[in-house]
This record gives sequence, structure tokens and C-alpha cells, in this order.
Amino acid sequence: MTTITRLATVPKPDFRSAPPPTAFAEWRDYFALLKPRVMTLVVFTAACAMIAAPGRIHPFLGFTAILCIAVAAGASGALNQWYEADIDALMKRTAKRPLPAGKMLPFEALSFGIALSVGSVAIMGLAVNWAAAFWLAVSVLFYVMVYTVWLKRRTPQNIVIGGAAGAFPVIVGWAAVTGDTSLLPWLLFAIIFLWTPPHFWALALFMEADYSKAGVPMLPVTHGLAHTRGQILLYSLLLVPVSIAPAVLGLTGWAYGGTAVTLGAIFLWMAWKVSRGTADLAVDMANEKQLFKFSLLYLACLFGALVADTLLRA
Amino acid sequence: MTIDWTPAERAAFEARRKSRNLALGLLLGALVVLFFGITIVKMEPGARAPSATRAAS
Repeated sequence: MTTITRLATVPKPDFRSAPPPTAFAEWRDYFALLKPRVMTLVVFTAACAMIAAPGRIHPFLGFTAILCIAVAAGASGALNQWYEADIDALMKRTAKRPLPAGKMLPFEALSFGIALSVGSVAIMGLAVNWAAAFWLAVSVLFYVMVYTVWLKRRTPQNIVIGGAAGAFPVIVGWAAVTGDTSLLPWLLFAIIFLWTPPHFWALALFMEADYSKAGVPMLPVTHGLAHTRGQILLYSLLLVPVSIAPAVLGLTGWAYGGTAVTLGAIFLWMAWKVSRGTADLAVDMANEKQLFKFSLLYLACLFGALVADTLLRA
Repeated sequence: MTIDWTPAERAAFEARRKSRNLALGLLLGALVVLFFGITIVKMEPGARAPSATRAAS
């Protein structure tokens, strides 16, 4: 009864007094929903996996596969933004995204994300093969259901789990060429999976205040900066041997192996410097910022070396 | 439904609607080209995609 009374006293929104939010969404807002920056990394790693995979794919079908991977990644981003609009509104980094900025309705973002997800998986299956489509669907569902809905707000290990979502595109790219998966793509998957925690925790260290404000249980917020620095070193120690494993197991040549060893040594050195740090303020976190930037270069060079190695051995 | 917009709001709305419609038109055109290309490739002899029998090895 109380509820009914309260509802009865709330004035009805006057849609005639102001234009609806949808009136002001333009194509750039829909594009922003796709998280184009994240898409770049996904497309790059998937394309490298496709080149490294044994076998051939018609260039047009290869292009279609990359397009589907990019669109599915974008769709995941859109669904993620739909679900997280409330916490995006609280963080400076994300407050200008289309939903928290009030440029479109949540339903629009949701239907946009679902349409792109279903469309990209269907086209991948019909044009390329259903193994790639299967892994593409798994990657979208994992990112949206497991990471975004289930774990992100519940555990400080959210980034570790989220790393798997970002790692699936290499499996999809590989499967697009071979119709199957083998040890090497799963090692590439493991590399991205183990690379993600040091990469994002380095960012989270100097963005800690933002995450704290939004109530997202990022590791620096829940366990403190010192613990996070230790975890960065731990995951870096796991990452480097896994990154070298393809060469040791004879799955790649030593052009890749040499690059992995060199880059791994630099990564470990930077992670060690971060682990020894004691800075509390973002302005003093030069080592953390350096590791964050280098981690992007690390992944790009590692996968670039994989492509170069494949081409050299062809 | 008539909405009481100011002339500036009306102009902004129409500009955005035009840009959205243009983008949607280009997207549909791109999809036509994509499907046409896929069809041509699939009709080429020996251009079948790899089999998808063992996805989860």
C-alpha cells in the first residue's frame, strides 16, 4: 500500500517538455559503445593468430573473420556499457560514455549489442566455419555473463577472469583458418590471459581513486597497493615462461623465442621495480605508468614477432 | 507526438538523425557488398572453408 501511495505521488514524466535522449544519439555514440580501442587489440591478436595458423584461408573470408571478431568484440563492449552505466557515471574516465552522458536509452544499447553479437556469430558460422563461430559466441558470453554480470563487482580477481575474455580472439582467429584448435593457440591464449593482470593492475594502481569511488572491487581497492604490486610481479613471473614456451616446444622458431626472452626480461625488470615501489599518489607512480605503457608494446611486439617468425619459416 | 522543441533543438535533432540515417545506409551497403563477396568466394571451386568438426580439442 505504501508503495502504491508513493508511486501515485510521483509525477509522471512530461515527455513533451524535453526531447527524448534518443533524439541526440548520433552514429559516433554508437561507435563509442563498441570500445574501439579495445577492438584494436583484439583485432591485432586475432589477425596474428590467423597468420601463424597452419593452412590457408581465402583473403576475403579472412577479412570477414576479422570483421566478425571486431564486431563481436564491439558488441561485448556495448553490452558491458549497458550493464555498467551506473558505475561508469561515477568514474571520470568513463563518465562521458554515451549511456552515462544520457545520449541514448539503455534499451538502445542493449538491442544494439545483442544484434551485433548474434549477427557477427551467424556470419562467422555461415561464411567461415562453425568452430570459429562457436568460440566467438563463447568469447562474447564469457565477457558479458561471466566477467561483466557475474564477477566484476564481486571479486578483486575480476581482471584475471576478464583476461580470458580478451584472450579468446586468438582461438577464434586460429579456428577460422584451421577449423580446429591446437596447443599453440592455447599458449597464445595463456599469454594474453597472464598478461592482462599486470597490465590492468598497473593501470588500477594509478587510477585507484576512480575505482574506489565507483565501488568496483579492484585489487588496489580491496587489498591495498602493496599487495597489488606483489601480484603484478607474480603474474609477470608466470607470463614470461609461458611466452617462451612456444619456442621451447618447437611450435615457433627462435626469431619469436629470442624476442620473447628479450621482452620478457624487460617486463620482469619493470614488474620488479613496481613491486619495490611504495608510492601512494598517482603523480609519484612513474614505474607503474611505465609498466602499463610497456605492457602494450610488449604484447604488440610479441605477436609481431610471432608473425615475422611464421613468415620467415614459410 | 509533437514535442515542444526550440528551433536549436529541432535543428540539432535533424542533423543527428541525418547523420544516423547516412551511417545506417552505408552499413547496409557494406553488408550487401560483404554478402555478395562471400557468395562469390563460396562459389569458387575448392574454396570451401575448413571443416568444423573438432572445435573443442
